[in-house]
Amino acid sequence: MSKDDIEAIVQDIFASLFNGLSDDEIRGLEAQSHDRWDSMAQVNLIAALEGEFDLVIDIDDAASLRSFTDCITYLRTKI
Amino acid sequence: MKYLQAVNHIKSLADDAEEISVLMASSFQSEAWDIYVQAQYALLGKRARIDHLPFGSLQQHLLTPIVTSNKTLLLLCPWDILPHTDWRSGFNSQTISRQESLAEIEAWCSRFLPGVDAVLYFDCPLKPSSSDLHDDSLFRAALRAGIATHSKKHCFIEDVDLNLYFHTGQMINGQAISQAVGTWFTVLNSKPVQRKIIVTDLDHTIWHGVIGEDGLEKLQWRNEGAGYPHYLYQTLLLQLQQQGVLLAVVSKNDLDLALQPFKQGHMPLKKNHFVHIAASYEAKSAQILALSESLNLPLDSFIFVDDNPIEIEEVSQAHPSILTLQFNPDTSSLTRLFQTLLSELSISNPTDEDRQRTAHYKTRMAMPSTVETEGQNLTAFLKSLNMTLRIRQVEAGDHQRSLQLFNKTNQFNLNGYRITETELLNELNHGAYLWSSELTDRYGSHGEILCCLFSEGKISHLAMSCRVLNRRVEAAFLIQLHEFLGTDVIPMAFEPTERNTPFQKFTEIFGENRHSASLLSANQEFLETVDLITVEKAI
Repeated sequence: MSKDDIEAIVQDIFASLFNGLSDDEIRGLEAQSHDRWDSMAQVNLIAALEGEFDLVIDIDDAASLRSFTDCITYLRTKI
Repeated sequence: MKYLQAVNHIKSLADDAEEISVLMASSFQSEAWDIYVQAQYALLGKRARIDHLPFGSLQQHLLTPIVTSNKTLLLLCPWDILPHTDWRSGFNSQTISRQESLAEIEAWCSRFLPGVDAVLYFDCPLKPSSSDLHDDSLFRAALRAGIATHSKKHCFIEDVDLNLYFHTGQMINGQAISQAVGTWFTVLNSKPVQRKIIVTDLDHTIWHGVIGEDGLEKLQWRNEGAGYPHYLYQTLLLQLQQQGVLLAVVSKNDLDLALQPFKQGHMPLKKNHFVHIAASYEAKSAQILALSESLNLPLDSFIFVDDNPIEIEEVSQAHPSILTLQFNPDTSSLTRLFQTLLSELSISNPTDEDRQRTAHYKTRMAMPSTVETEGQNLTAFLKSLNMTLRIRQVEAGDHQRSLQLFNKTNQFNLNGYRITETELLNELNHGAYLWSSELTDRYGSHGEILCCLFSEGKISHLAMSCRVLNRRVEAAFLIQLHEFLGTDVIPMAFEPTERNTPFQKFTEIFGENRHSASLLSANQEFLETVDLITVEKAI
């Protein structure tokens, strides 16, 4: 799967979890600067990525995925 | 189903899709499940609004449920039932005996699970609480049994990720959630098939040997030698028959030959244990179809047992809804056959009605079919039956047959609503009326065939056995009920279901408002029922 494909899918996942954000806002999204990205949102994001990409994200890796860019970088190493 | 597929299923719902509110009750944060649950409802054409309980309030909710949702789905962990087995609470000095734990499991499950629509249970290792290594497997088995016994619908999830639970409180990862929800909804949407009758072959099935070739003396069915498997089979059929299961024979034989071993009277099964013995050289599928029509039982209520795989195949191809089982006398095949028959048919706490079912169906078979008679002929025919309907008010303690009719009848059922014994007793304790009716005619008694629960000013449950359909018994009962209640209009909680077509047709006699049994709008045929059925009442 190409980087663009992964990015498009992750973009859709983020859009469903953090609705109301523009594409640019999603691509720049970071947990520390967005008040809706709390611990529950983190759990939901990891579950959504696992459910979409059919993988199991290690606990430590899951904790380190704190931005849209982190997710893309991580998924490129796994898919 | 992948995550974005789930999102798209929800997006594709029509704006005016039916809405349903669902409570996802759990002791952990289960919001990650929402998207898949909503997608499953979207596949059913429904838009699900999902609520969750505040964190840590599951027990409180179960104790004092505030019902605002159409459905309550319970995601259940072992430690919701046995708190001392929760890994996340660490080890402490609290000790609970094995007996106390087992009692707690039964008490918890029997108290809380009947009120829940469906349970998804995480069957995972428990935190050890004693030095006995067997306790974990003992408790896990008891937990599964408690859930299976007391829940309306359930499924078990075994691939729990304890490491994930330690760190996040989640029971399974996102990859597994979709699959678990899919399994859960398969269970939720499944319609249990109610098997009611076993149709059995004779040669090499009821007995060892071939009556037409070996003769009566060489047949083996005693508890010795080659007869042993057949002895066991006969005694199991006898047990099931006494619990209310109907038995019938379909054999490719001459009838006089087929009847010989029964006439001799030495076998556990006698001729009178069977609702019908058919022996001819017609295809067995055709013989079973004729039996289905004369008993007015759907084909999916049939189980067919035969030693011959060709006969099994013939019936199976002609009637796929019939459960076909091969009789094979080797021990493991036989065990599987007996287990299947028991799990498909066994009836707990059989009522008098169950024990007399064979006799009631024989009565039905003895009389001509109402379907073949129409119009004036039908009225004359019904009148000639000399029907008497005995209506009585049922008290708590005498309610088993009513409970059975409400929960097992699909065709002539007001709304398909099921009711637990606890709920029924609760209704009776709060002023509801429960009536039961027995029908007799010139062919004999049909037993208790109709029951009705009147609660909070309306008929909440009404069910009638399909074996007296088209007799206008329901009309005779309702006319009597109007008289008892002193009103021309009785509200009914009518709901169409996939299987209550006969009831839906019945409501047409009341005109446009199908939610009231109204004498004012009822047609002439309904009102003339008083001339056809004598009513004896104790209400």
